[in-house]
Amino acid sequence: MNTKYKGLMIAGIILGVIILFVFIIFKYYQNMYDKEVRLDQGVKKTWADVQASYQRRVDLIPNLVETVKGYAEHEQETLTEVMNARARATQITIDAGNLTPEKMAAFQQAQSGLSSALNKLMAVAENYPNLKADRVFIDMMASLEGTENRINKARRDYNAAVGTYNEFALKLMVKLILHPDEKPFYEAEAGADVAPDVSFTD
Amino acid sequence: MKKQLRSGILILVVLLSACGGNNEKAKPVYEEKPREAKAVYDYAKILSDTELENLDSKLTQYYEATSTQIVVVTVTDLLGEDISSYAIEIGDRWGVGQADKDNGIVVLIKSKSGNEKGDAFIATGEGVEGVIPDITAKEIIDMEMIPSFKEGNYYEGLDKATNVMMQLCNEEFTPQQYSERHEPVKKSSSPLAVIIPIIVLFLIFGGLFGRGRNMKKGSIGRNIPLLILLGMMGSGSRHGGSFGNFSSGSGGFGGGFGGGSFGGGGAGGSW
Repeated sequence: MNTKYKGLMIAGIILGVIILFVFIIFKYYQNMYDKEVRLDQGVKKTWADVQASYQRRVDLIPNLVETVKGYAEHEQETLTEVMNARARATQITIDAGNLTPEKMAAFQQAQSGLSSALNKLMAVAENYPNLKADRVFIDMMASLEGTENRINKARRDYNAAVGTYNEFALKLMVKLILHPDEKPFYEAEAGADVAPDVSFTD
Repeated sequence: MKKQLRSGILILVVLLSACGGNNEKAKPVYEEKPREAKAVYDYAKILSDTELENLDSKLTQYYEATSTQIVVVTVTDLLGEDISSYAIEIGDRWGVGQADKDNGIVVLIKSKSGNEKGDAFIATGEGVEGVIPDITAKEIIDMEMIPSFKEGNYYEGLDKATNVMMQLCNEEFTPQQYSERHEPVKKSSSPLAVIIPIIVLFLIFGGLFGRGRNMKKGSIGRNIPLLILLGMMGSGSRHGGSFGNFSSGSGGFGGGFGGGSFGGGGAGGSW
Protein backbone atom coordinates (compact mmCIF):
# COMPACT_ATOMS: atom_id res chain seq x y z
CA MET A 1 0.00 0.00 0.00
CA ASN A 2 2.64 2.41 1.09
CA THR A 3 5.03 1.50 -1.72
CA LYS A 4 2.23 1.68 -4.27
CA TYR A 5 1.35 5.16 -3.07
CA LYS A 6 4.97 6.18 -3.24
CA GLY A 7 5.34 4.80 -6.75
CA LEU A 8 2.27 6.68 -7.88
CA MET A 9 3.63 9.87 -6.42
CA ILE A 10 6.95 9.46 -8.17
CA ALA A 11 5.23 8.70 -11.44
CA GLY A 12 3.09 11.77 -10.95
CA ILE A 13 6.08 13.97 -10.29
CA ILE A 14 7.92 12.61 -13.31
CA LEU A 15 4.87 13.12 -15.48
CA GLY A 16 4.50 16.64 -14.13
CA VAL A 17 8.12 17.43 -14.83
CA ILE A 18 7.82 16.04 -18.33
CA ILE A 19 4.69 18.06 -19.02
CA LEU A 20 6.35 21.17 -17.64
CA PHE A 21 9.42 20.47 -19.71
CA VAL A 22 7.41 19.95 -22.88
CA PHE A 23 5.47 23.09 -22.14
CA ILE A 24 8.65 25.11 -21.64
CA ILE A 25 10.11 23.76 -24.87
CA PHE A 26 6.89 24.53 -26.68
CA LYS A 27 6.86 28.07 -25.31
CA TYR A 28 10.49 28.51 -26.24
CA TYR A 29 9.80 27.32 -29.75
CA GLN A 30 6.68 29.43 -30.01
CA ASN A 31 8.54 32.57 -28.94
CA MET A 32 11.28 31.90 -31.41
CA TYR A 33 8.86 31.17 -34.20
CA ASP A 34 6.76 34.24 -33.49
CA LYS A 35 9.83 36.43 -33.40
CA GLU A 36 10.98 35.04 -36.71
CA VAL A 37 7.59 35.80 -38.23
CA ARG A 38 7.62 39.32 -36.82
CA LEU A 39 11.11 40.12 -38.06
CA ASP A 40 10.36 38.51 -41.40
CA GLN A 41 7.29 40.69 -41.75
CA GLY A 42 9.44 43.70 -40.97
CA VAL A 43 11.80 42.79 -43.79
CA LYS A 44 8.91 42.18 -46.19
CA LYS A 45 7.20 45.42 -45.37
CA THR A 46 10.33 47.50 -45.71
CA TRP A 47 11.18 45.72 -48.95
CA ALA A 48 7.77 46.61 -50.29
CA ASP A 49 8.57 50.23 -49.48
CA VAL A 50 11.87 49.98 -51.32
CA GLN A 51 10.17 48.63 -54.41
CA ALA A 52 7.38 51.16 -54.19
CA SER A 53 9.80 54.06 -54.01
CA TYR A 54 11.77 52.75 -56.97
CA GLN A 55 8.49 52.30 -58.82
CA ARG A 56 7.72 55.91 -58.08
CA ARG A 57 10.92 56.91 -59.79
CA VAL A 58 10.20 54.71 -62.77
CA ASP A 59 6.78 56.35 -63.09
CA LEU A 60 8.31 59.82 -63.21
CA ILE A 61 10.62 59.06 -66.08
CA PRO A 62 8.36 59.13 -69.16
CA ASN A 63 7.21 62.65 -68.33
CA LEU A 64 10.73 63.73 -67.56
CA VAL A 65 12.03 62.39 -70.86
CA GLU A 66 9.15 64.01 -72.70
CA THR A 67 9.94 67.38 -71.15
CA VAL A 68 13.63 67.16 -71.87
CA LYS A 69 12.90 66.10 -75.43
CA GLY A 70 11.05 69.36 -75.99
CA TYR A 71 14.23 71.35 -75.38
CA ALA A 72 17.01 68.96 -76.17
CA GLU A 73 16.02 66.85 -79.13
CA HIS A 74 19.63 66.44 -80.16
CA GLU A 75 20.24 64.37 -77.09
CA GLN A 76 18.35 61.43 -78.49
CA GLU A 77 21.04 58.99 -77.46
CA THR A 78 20.91 59.92 -73.78
CA LEU A 79 17.14 59.91 -73.81
CA THR A 80 17.00 56.46 -75.40
CA GLU A 81 19.47 55.23 -72.85
CA VAL A 82 17.26 56.43 -70.03
CA MET A 83 14.20 54.77 -71.53
CA ASN A 84 16.09 51.50 -72.01
CA ALA A 85 17.40 51.58 -68.49
CA ARG A 86 13.89 52.27 -67.32
CA ALA A 87 12.57 49.30 -69.25
CA ARG A 88 15.18 47.05 -67.68
CA ALA A 89 14.38 48.38 -64.21
CA THR A 90 10.66 47.72 -64.67
CA GLN A 91 11.26 44.13 -65.64
CA ILE A 92 12.82 43.15 -62.34
CA THR A 93 10.68 43.02 -59.28
CA ILE A 94 11.23 40.72 -56.36
CA ASP A 95 8.50 39.04 -54.40
CA ALA A 96 9.11 39.97 -50.78
CA GLY A 97 8.88 36.32 -49.75
CA ASN A 98 11.61 35.33 -52.13
CA LEU A 99 14.50 37.66 -51.44
CA THR A 100 17.63 35.90 -52.59
CA PRO A 101 21.05 37.50 -52.94
CA GLU A 102 21.04 36.76 -56.69
CA LYS A 103 17.70 38.45 -57.30
CA MET A 104 18.74 41.31 -55.10
CA ALA A 105 21.93 41.77 -57.10
CA ALA A 106 19.95 41.81 -60.36
CA PHE A 107 17.50 44.33 -58.94
CA GLN A 108 20.29 46.55 -57.69
CA GLN A 109 22.07 46.39 -60.99
CA ALA A 110 19.00 47.39 -62.95
CA GLN A 111 18.22 50.26 -60.61
CA SER A 112 21.74 51.59 -60.51
CA GLY A 113 21.80 51.39 -64.30
CA LEU A 114 18.80 53.67 -64.28
CA SER A 115 20.46 55.94 -61.73
CA SER A 116 23.51 56.45 -63.86
CA ALA A 117 21.43 56.98 -67.02
CA LEU A 118 19.50 59.64 -65.11
CA ASN A 119 22.74 61.19 -63.93
CA LYS A 120 23.83 61.49 -67.52
CA LEU A 121 20.55 63.09 -68.44
CA MET A 122 20.95 65.61 -65.63
CA ALA A 123 24.42 66.46 -66.86
CA VAL A 124 23.03 67.00 -70.35
CA ALA A 125 20.24 69.18 -69.02
CA GLU A 126 22.85 71.51 -67.58
CA ASN A 127 23.57 72.64 -71.12
CA TYR A 128 20.04 73.83 -71.80
CA PRO A 129 19.24 76.99 -69.87
CA ASN A 130 15.71 77.13 -71.27
CA LEU A 131 15.04 73.61 -70.06
CA LYS A 132 16.38 74.43 -66.64
CA ALA A 133 14.08 77.43 -66.45
CA ASP A 134 11.00 75.45 -67.49
CA ARG A 135 8.50 75.32 -64.68
CA VAL A 136 7.47 71.75 -65.47
CA PHE A 137 11.09 70.67 -65.45
CA ILE A 138 11.78 72.44 -62.16
CA ASP A 139 8.81 70.72 -60.55
CA MET A 140 9.90 67.43 -61.99
CA MET A 141 13.35 67.85 -60.52
CA ALA A 142 11.79 68.46 -57.12
CA SER A 143 9.71 65.30 -57.51
CA LEU A 144 12.72 63.32 -58.63
CA GLU A 145 14.77 64.61 -55.74
CA GLY A 146 11.96 63.72 -53.35
CA THR A 147 11.78 60.27 -54.84
CA GLU A 148 15.49 59.75 -54.43
CA ASN A 149 15.14 60.79 -50.79
CA ARG A 150 12.35 58.28 -50.34
CA ILE A 151 14.42 55.59 -51.98
CA ASN A 152 17.30 56.30 -49.62
CA LYS A 153 15.02 56.30 -46.63
CA ALA A 154 13.31 53.06 -47.70
CA ARG A 155 16.67 51.42 -48.25
CA ARG A 156 17.96 52.48 -44.85
CA ASP A 157 14.82 51.09 -43.22
CA TYR A 158 15.10 47.87 -45.20
CA ASN A 159 18.73 47.38 -44.28
CA ALA A 160 17.93 48.04 -40.62
CA ALA A 161 15.19 45.39 -40.75
CA VAL A 162 17.53 42.93 -42.48
CA GLY A 163 20.21 43.65 -39.89
CA THR A 164 17.85 42.79 -37.05
CA TYR A 165 16.58 39.71 -38.87
CA ASN A 166 20.04 38.37 -39.65
CA GLU A 167 21.28 38.93 -36.15
CA PHE A 168 18.39 36.79 -34.95
CA ALA A 169 18.79 34.21 -37.70
CA LEU A 170 22.44 33.67 -36.86
CA LYS A 171 21.82 32.75 -33.25
CA LEU A 172 22.82 29.16 -32.57
CA MET A 173 19.49 27.84 -31.36
CA VAL A 174 17.55 29.65 -34.05
CA LYS A 175 19.92 28.28 -36.63
CA LEU A 176 19.56 24.74 -35.31
CA ILE A 177 15.81 24.78 -34.91
CA LEU A 178 14.39 27.07 -37.60
CA HIS A 179 17.43 27.25 -39.87
CA PRO A 180 16.23 30.42 -41.60
CA ASP A 181 18.09 31.95 -44.53
CA GLU A 182 19.84 35.22 -44.04
CA LYS A 183 18.28 38.10 -45.93
CA PRO A 184 20.32 40.07 -48.43
CA PHE A 185 21.22 43.66 -47.65
CA TYR A 186 20.66 46.38 -50.18
CA GLU A 187 24.20 47.48 -50.57
CA ALA A 188 25.01 50.74 -52.24
CA GLU A 189 27.52 50.16 -54.96
CA ALA A 190 30.29 52.68 -54.71
CA GLY A 191 29.77 55.39 -57.28
CA ALA A 192 27.27 53.51 -59.41
CA ASP A 193 24.28 54.12 -57.27
CA VAL A 194 24.61 57.62 -55.94
CA ALA A 195 21.45 59.64 -56.13
CA PRO A 196 21.57 61.95 -59.13
CA ASP A 197 22.47 65.44 -58.11
CA VAL A 198 19.46 67.35 -59.25
CA SER A 199 20.11 70.68 -57.64
CA PHE A 200 20.73 73.44 -60.10
CA THR A 201 22.55 76.10 -58.25
CA ASP A 202 24.55 78.41 -60.35
CA MET B 1 55.89 49.40 -50.09
CA LYS B 2 56.96 49.55 -46.49
CA LYS B 3 57.40 53.24 -46.73
CA GLN B 4 53.87 53.60 -48.05
CA LEU B 5 52.58 51.50 -45.23
CA ARG B 6 54.38 53.60 -42.69
CA SER B 7 53.14 56.87 -44.08
CA GLY B 8 49.68 55.34 -44.29
CA ILE B 9 49.82 54.50 -40.62
CA LEU B 10 51.09 57.94 -39.84
CA ILE B 11 48.19 59.53 -41.67
CA LEU B 12 45.80 57.23 -39.86
CA VAL B 13 47.24 58.18 -36.50
CA VAL B 14 47.02 61.86 -37.32
CA LEU B 15 43.44 61.46 -38.50
CA LEU B 16 42.48 59.49 -35.42
CA SER B 17 43.99 62.00 -33.07
CA ALA B 18 42.28 64.79 -34.98
CA CYS B 19 38.98 62.97 -34.52
CA GLY B 20 39.75 62.38 -30.88
CA GLY B 21 40.26 66.08 -30.36
CA ASN B 22 36.64 66.99 -30.97
CA ASN B 23 35.07 63.64 -30.48
CA GLU B 24 31.97 65.12 -28.96
CA LYS B 25 31.23 67.31 -31.93
CA ALA B 26 31.81 64.60 -34.48
CA LYS B 27 28.51 62.90 -33.73
CA PRO B 28 25.44 63.77 -35.77
CA VAL B 29 22.84 65.38 -33.59
CA TYR B 30 20.15 62.86 -34.49
CA GLU B 31 22.00 60.11 -32.68
CA GLU B 32 21.06 61.49 -29.35
CA LYS B 33 17.47 62.36 -28.72
CA PRO B 34 17.38 65.57 -26.70
CA ARG B 35 16.06 65.14 -23.20
CA GLU B 36 13.78 68.12 -23.55
CA ALA B 37 11.54 68.26 -26.59
CA LYS B 38 11.31 71.78 -27.93
CA ALA B 39 10.83 73.56 -31.22
CA VAL B 40 14.21 75.14 -31.92
CA TYR B 41 17.66 73.61 -31.55
CA ASP B 42 20.11 76.27 -32.61
CA TYR B 43 23.30 74.24 -32.46
CA ALA B 44 24.91 76.54 -35.03
CA LYS B 45 24.11 79.60 -32.89
CA ILE B 46 22.79 81.61 -35.80
CA LEU B 47 19.82 83.09 -33.95
CA SER B 48 19.90 85.74 -31.27
CA ASP B 49 18.25 84.99 -27.94
CA THR B 50 15.17 87.03 -28.79
CA GLU B 51 14.87 85.50 -32.23
CA LEU B 52 15.17 82.04 -30.82
CA GLU B 53 12.55 82.76 -28.21
CA ASN B 54 10.14 84.26 -30.74
CA LEU B 55 10.46 81.34 -33.10
CA ASP B 56 10.28 78.82 -30.30
CA SER B 57 7.18 80.30 -28.71
CA LYS B 58 5.44 80.62 -32.06
CA LEU B 59 6.05 76.97 -32.90
CA THR B 60 5.26 75.80 -29.39
CA GLN B 61 1.94 77.58 -29.46
CA TYR B 62 1.22 76.14 -32.83
CA TYR B 63 1.96 72.70 -31.43
CA GLU B 64 -0.33 73.28 -28.48
CA ALA B 65 -3.13 74.33 -30.81
CA THR B 66 -2.75 71.63 -33.46
CA SER B 67 -0.39 68.91 -32.11
CA THR B 68 1.71 69.42 -35.24
CA GLN B 69 5.37 69.57 -34.30
CA ILE B 70 7.57 71.82 -36.40
CA VAL B 71 11.17 71.51 -35.26
CA VAL B 72 13.96 73.79 -36.44
CA VAL B 73 17.50 72.46 -36.14
CA THR B 74 20.61 74.36 -37.15
CA VAL B 75 24.06 72.82 -37.42
CA THR B 76 27.45 73.98 -38.63
CA ASP B 77 28.52 70.68 -40.10
CA LEU B 78 26.70 67.75 -41.66
CA LEU B 79 29.71 65.50 -41.13
CA GLY B 80 29.76 64.55 -44.76
CA GLU B 81 26.19 63.33 -44.75
CA ASP B 82 23.51 64.21 -47.20
CA ILE B 83 21.30 66.94 -45.74
CA SER B 84 18.13 65.09 -46.69
CA SER B 85 19.00 61.93 -44.83
CA TYR B 86 20.35 63.98 -41.92
CA ALA B 87 17.04 65.80 -41.58
CA ILE B 88 14.94 62.67 -42.04
CA GLU B 89 17.00 60.83 -39.44
CA ILE B 90 16.36 63.65 -36.97
CA GLY B 91 12.64 63.38 -37.58
CA ASP B 92 12.56 59.61 -37.43
CA ARG B 93 14.87 59.02 -34.50
CA TRP B 94 13.57 61.79 -32.33
CA GLY B 95 10.03 60.95 -33.33
CA VAL B 96 8.89 64.42 -34.34
CA GLY B 97 5.11 64.61 -34.70
CA GLN B 98 2.39 62.42 -33.24
CA ALA B 99 2.63 58.69 -33.79
CA ASP B 100 -0.94 58.38 -35.00
CA LYS B 101 -0.80 61.40 -37.30
CA ASP B 102 2.84 61.54 -38.32
CA ASN B 103 2.43 65.29 -38.30
CA GLY B 104 6.01 66.33 -37.78
CA ILE B 105 8.20 68.67 -39.80
CA VAL B 106 11.94 69.07 -39.44
CA VAL B 107 13.59 72.18 -40.82
CA LEU B 108 17.33 71.63 -40.94
CA ILE B 109 19.77 74.43 -41.68
CA LYS B 110 23.45 74.00 -42.23
CA SER B 111 24.79 77.49 -41.81
CA LYS B 112 26.98 79.05 -44.43
CA SER B 113 30.55 79.55 -43.38
CA GLY B 114 33.37 80.93 -45.46
CA ASN B 115 33.45 79.28 -48.84
CA GLU B 116 31.16 76.47 -47.84
CA LYS B 117 27.66 77.02 -49.04
CA GLY B 118 24.72 76.82 -46.71
CA ASP B 119 22.13 74.07 -47.01
CA ALA B 120 18.52 73.96 -45.99
CA PHE B 121 16.10 71.07 -45.93
CA ILE B 122 12.47 70.64 -44.98
CA ALA B 123 11.62 67.08 -44.05
CA THR B 124 7.91 66.37 -43.92
CA GLY B 125 6.38 63.62 -41.82
CA GLU B 126 4.22 61.11 -43.60
CA GLY B 127 1.05 62.83 -42.45
CA VAL B 128 2.18 66.20 -43.76
CA GLU B 129 3.27 65.11 -47.22
CA GLY B 130 -0.24 65.76 -48.51
CA VAL B 131 -0.49 69.38 -47.41
CA ILE B 132 3.18 70.16 -48.10
CA PRO B 133 4.24 68.13 -51.15
CA ASP B 134 7.92 68.02 -52.05
CA ILE B 135 7.47 70.63 -54.74
CA THR B 136 5.90 73.02 -52.26
CA ALA B 137 8.66 72.36 -49.74
CA LYS B 138 11.13 73.24 -52.45
CA GLU B 139 9.25 76.46 -53.15
CA ILE B 140 9.22 77.39 -49.49
CA ILE B 141 12.98 76.92 -49.39
CA ASP B 142 13.56 78.92 -52.57
CA MET B 143 11.05 81.68 -51.92
CA GLU B 144 10.96 82.20 -48.17
CA MET B 145 14.25 80.98 -46.83
CA ILE B 146 17.08 81.43 -49.27
CA PRO B 147 16.50 85.11 -50.14
CA SER B 148 16.73 86.00 -46.45
CA PHE B 149 19.53 83.54 -45.78
CA LYS B 150 21.57 85.10 -48.54
CA GLU B 151 21.44 88.34 -46.63
CA GLY B 152 22.49 86.51 -43.51
CA ASN B 153 19.07 86.94 -41.92
CA TYR B 154 18.32 83.45 -40.75
CA TYR B 155 15.49 84.46 -38.48
CA GLU B 156 13.49 86.19 -41.17
CA GLY B 157 13.76 83.23 -43.50
CA LEU B 158 12.80 80.74 -40.83
CA ASP B 159 9.97 82.91 -39.59
CA LYS B 160 8.48 83.32 -43.05
CA ALA B 161 8.95 79.68 -43.96
CA THR B 162 7.36 78.40 -40.77
CA ASN B 163 4.44 80.78 -41.25
CA VAL B 164 3.78 79.36 -44.69
CA MET B 165 4.09 75.81 -43.40
CA MET B 166 1.63 76.48 -40.61
CA GLN B 167 -0.81 78.04 -43.04
CA LEU B 168 -0.46 75.08 -45.38
CA CYS B 169 -1.02 72.66 -42.49
CA ASN B 170 -4.10 74.63 -41.48
CA GLU B 171 -5.21 74.41 -45.08
CA GLU B 172 -5.62 78.17 -45.19
CA PHE B 173 -4.45 77.83 -48.76
CA THR B 174 -3.54 74.90 -50.95
CA PRO B 175 -0.07 74.14 -52.29
CA GLN B 176 -1.35 75.18 -55.72
CA GLN B 177 -2.49 78.54 -54.44
CA TYR B 178 0.83 79.04 -52.72
CA SER B 179 2.65 78.08 -55.86
CA GLU B 180 0.59 80.37 -58.05
CA ARG B 181 1.37 83.24 -55.78
CA HIS B 182 5.03 82.83 -56.56
CA GLU B 183 4.77 81.84 -60.19
CA PRO B 184 5.55 85.34 -61.51
CA VAL B 185 8.59 85.66 -59.30
CA LYS B 186 10.15 82.62 -60.87
CA LYS B 187 9.73 83.81 -64.44
CA SER B 188 10.92 87.28 -63.72
CA SER B 189 12.40 87.61 -67.19
CA SER B 190 9.08 87.57 -69.01
CA PRO B 191 6.92 90.70 -69.36
CA LEU B 192 4.01 88.69 -68.01
CA ALA B 193 5.81 88.76 -64.70
CA VAL B 194 4.69 92.32 -64.21
CA ILE B 195 1.18 91.97 -65.52
CA ILE B 196 0.09 88.76 -63.86
CA PRO B 197 0.65 89.83 -60.24
CA ILE B 198 -1.29 92.99 -60.88
CA ILE B 199 -4.18 91.01 -62.29
CA VAL B 200 -3.98 88.54 -59.44
CA LEU B 201 -3.97 91.34 -56.90
CA PHE B 202 -6.95 92.96 -58.56
CA LEU B 203 -8.80 89.68 -58.51
CA ILE B 204 -8.01 89.00 -54.89
CA PHE B 205 -8.77 92.47 -53.64
CA GLY B 206 -11.78 92.74 -55.89
CA GLY B 207 -13.00 89.43 -54.55
CA LEU B 208 -12.40 90.44 -50.97
CA PHE B 209 -14.14 93.76 -51.18
CA GLY B 210 -16.94 92.25 -53.15
CA ARG B 211 -17.41 89.67 -50.47
CA GLY B 212 -17.17 92.32 -47.80
CA ARG B 213 -20.05 94.19 -49.37
CA ASN B 214 -22.21 91.13 -49.49
CA MET B 215 -21.49 90.04 -45.98
CA LYS B 216 -21.62 92.99 -43.68
CA LYS B 217 -21.12 90.77 -40.66
CA GLY B 218 -17.67 89.84 -41.90
CA SER B 219 -15.73 88.84 -38.82
CA ILE B 220 -11.99 88.73 -38.39
CA GLY B 221 -12.09 85.20 -39.68
CA ARG B 222 -13.28 86.42 -43.04
CA ASN B 223 -10.37 88.78 -43.27
CA ILE B 224 -7.78 86.14 -42.61
CA PRO B 225 -6.86 85.74 -46.29
CA LEU B 226 -6.33 89.47 -46.50
CA LEU B 227 -4.23 89.45 -43.35
CA ILE B 228 -2.14 86.62 -44.69
CA LEU B 229 -1.70 88.44 -47.94
CA LEU B 230 -0.63 91.59 -46.20
CA GLY B 231 1.71 89.56 -44.07
CA MET B 232 3.26 88.02 -47.13
CA MET B 233 3.69 91.33 -48.92
CA GLY B 234 4.58 93.75 -46.22
CA SER B 235 8.08 93.33 -45.00
CA GLY B 236 7.29 95.90 -42.35
CA SER B 237 4.96 93.76 -40.30
CA ARG B 238 7.01 90.92 -38.98
CA HIS B 239 4.30 88.79 -37.47
CA GLY B 240 2.56 87.88 -40.67
CA GLY B 241 1.22 84.68 -39.22
CA SER B 242 -1.58 84.49 -36.75
CA PHE B 243 0.61 82.97 -34.07
CA GLY B 244 3.36 84.00 -31.78
CA ASN B 245 2.05 87.31 -30.54
CA PHE B 246 1.54 86.36 -26.95
CA SER B 247 4.42 84.58 -25.32
CA SER B 248 3.71 81.88 -22.80
CA GLY B 249 7.33 81.27 -21.98
CA SER B 250 9.11 78.40 -23.67
CA GLY B 251 8.05 75.26 -21.94
CA GLY B 252 8.97 73.13 -24.91
CA PHE B 253 6.65 70.55 -26.40
CA GLY B 254 4.56 69.31 -23.50
CA GLY B 255 4.36 65.57 -23.83
CA GLY B 256 7.63 65.42 -25.73
CA PHE B 257 8.12 64.22 -29.26
CA GLY B 258 5.25 62.00 -30.21
CA GLY B 259 6.97 59.27 -32.20
CA GLY B 260 5.94 60.40 -35.67
CA SER B 261 7.65 58.78 -38.61
CA PHE B 262 9.15 60.13 -41.81
CA GLY B 263 9.00 58.45 -45.18
CA GLY B 264 11.51 60.63 -46.96
CA GLY B 265 9.25 63.49 -47.96
CA GLY B 266 10.54 67.03 -48.28
CA ALA B 267 12.99 69.06 -50.29
CA GLY B 268 16.13 71.07 -49.89
CA GLY B 269 18.18 73.82 -51.40
CA SER B 270 21.43 75.63 -50.93
CA TRP B 271 22.79 79.12 -51.22
